[in-house]
Amino acid sequence: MEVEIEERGEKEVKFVIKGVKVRFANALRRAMITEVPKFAIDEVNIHENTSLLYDEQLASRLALIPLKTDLRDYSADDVVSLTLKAISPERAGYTVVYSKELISSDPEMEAAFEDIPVVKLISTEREIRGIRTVARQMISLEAIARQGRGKKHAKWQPVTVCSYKDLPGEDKNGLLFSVESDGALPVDEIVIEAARIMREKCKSVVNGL
Amino acid sequence: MIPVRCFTCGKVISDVWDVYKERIKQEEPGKVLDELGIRRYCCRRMLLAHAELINEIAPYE
Repeated sequence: MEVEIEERGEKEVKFVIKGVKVRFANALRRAMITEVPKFAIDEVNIHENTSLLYDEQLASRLALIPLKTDLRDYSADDVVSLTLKAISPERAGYTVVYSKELISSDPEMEAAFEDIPVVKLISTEREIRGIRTVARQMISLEAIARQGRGKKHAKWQPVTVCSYKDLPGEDKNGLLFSVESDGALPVDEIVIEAARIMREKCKSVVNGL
Repeated sequence: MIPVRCFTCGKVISDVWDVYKERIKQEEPGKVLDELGIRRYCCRRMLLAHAELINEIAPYE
């Protein structure tokens, strides 16, 4: 087997594998999508939510935020708690709550993107019998992140694009892989971890025989 | 609110929404998307076709 890296970044990699069967490439692709673990928010305790989003919409948005994870620091059943508190302005107007406002119990784990809008909190001014009041919206919640795998839910899938194709032109002997990370793990770690998982699986077959 | 990720490929696209929204007032949306690194058409349509409706719902609290 021969591997040649064509392009390489922190989030994206393109490489050519030569001298392998398509079924091997497909196994590697599927391992990257469904077997490589990462952290994602799995449970949300909502103490207060007077925003326009329903609790479950809020929880779904939170779950989709990629959390930067160094897998070597965690065991499979570790949990990390993230809290989020926000309130709309004192006067009429609005504030947008961003992913960077999540406060993590573990300083090593944070949202991979700072500027993901989570929810918009709106203050509205009302006048009732000559008295002006401002109705403010607020959220207060605790989110619990757990490790999981893509086969259970897409929020635990470490890759976005993960595909291979025949090399363009006459050379039909190689496969060109394109892999893109969602931001939670560095892309080379995903490929290496997937390969390691495949090896473990093969070993367990040998041991089982 | 803009969806957090692209429906099709799963790339996070919502983090550039604020910048995109500001810039298209002056510039060509296609060019802005290129510069923000939104390359695939599945991701591009997420921003291009998004209508911010949350303010319409707000009064009916």
